[in-house]
Amino acid sequence: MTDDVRAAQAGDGGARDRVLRAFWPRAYRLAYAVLHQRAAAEDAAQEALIRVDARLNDLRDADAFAVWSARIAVNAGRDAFRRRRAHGALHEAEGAERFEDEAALRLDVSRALAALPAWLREPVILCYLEGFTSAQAGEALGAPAATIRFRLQLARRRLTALLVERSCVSEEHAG
Amino acid sequence: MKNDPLAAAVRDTYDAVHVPAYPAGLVAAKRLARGPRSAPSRGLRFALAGAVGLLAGALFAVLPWPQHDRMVALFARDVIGASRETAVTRTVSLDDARRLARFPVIVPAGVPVDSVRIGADNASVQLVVEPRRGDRVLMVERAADGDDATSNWISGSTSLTVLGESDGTIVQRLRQATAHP
Repeated sequence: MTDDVRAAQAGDGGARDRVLRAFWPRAYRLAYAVLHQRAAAEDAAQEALIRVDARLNDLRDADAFAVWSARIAVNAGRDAFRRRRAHGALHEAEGAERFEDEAALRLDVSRALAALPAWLREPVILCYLEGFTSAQAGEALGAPAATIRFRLQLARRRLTALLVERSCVSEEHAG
Repeated sequence: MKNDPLAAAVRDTYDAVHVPAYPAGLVAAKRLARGPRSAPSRGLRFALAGAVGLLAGALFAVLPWPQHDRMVALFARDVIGASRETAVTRTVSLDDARRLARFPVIVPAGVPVDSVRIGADNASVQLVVEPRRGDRVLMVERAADGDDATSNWISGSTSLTVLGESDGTIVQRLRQATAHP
């Protein structure tokens, strides 16, 4: 990926296309993590994709692409969230959609995640799905690493409590 | 990456999220809307900024008056006298200046003269002299009251202005250069 980013910055159109295509599912899932609403997440992910395409040449360190692009995706999600909230289209606790075709566990985890506020959900998605360290997640979210660790811990407690209620995760794994 | 059941469940959940198709058309349309030229790289932008700076410096060095006057008014440092020539002036040769001026134009002996301008009423002359390579001084001369106006270039000048950077000894070097005319 880093090589493709460098090549894209050097003007390689094929590499740029590969970078953007690889970024797309990440952008969508990150936007979805913020919004928990599919249509809105798609709009936000498209916005993130356009921003990454437009600003790719501004990225100084190609190795930092993952964190840099994640920050763009999260910010696009946050912007969409604010717009929707301003228009009364979304309330944070009401954003969850049902995964009709998914297993019960996934459904419950999804519901539990949807029940979290975005500021707790974002560190979870960045650290667990993207594999970021708390420092990288902090960089992407504009918060100190210690704050991310605190939010992550709080999110885990809330998720565990919600899932234990549904007996999805045994208490021995909690925390 | 954390590998406990909770983290795994979260990963499974988001991995299972159906991702819409890549919006290739949208990306292409946005690129078209932005125009064919992509944003220049950081290095290119630095190079462009440097080129603009060099161009500005070159223009400062070669621009004819009165643009030069304005630049001097903005950046130059007075050494002797505070009056500035604000009247409309025109570029002339040194010989023409001597012929047109209503007073004897004094030129430091042995010091190259870069340019000469004369005031609209021929009552003043501006000389840019170069006492040493890189040192440039703007001399403004008017008719002096004293009888010795023609005997000493410094008394013939009503102001000296160092152009550009100065180490504080430019006028001293100008004096030394003309100590034995």
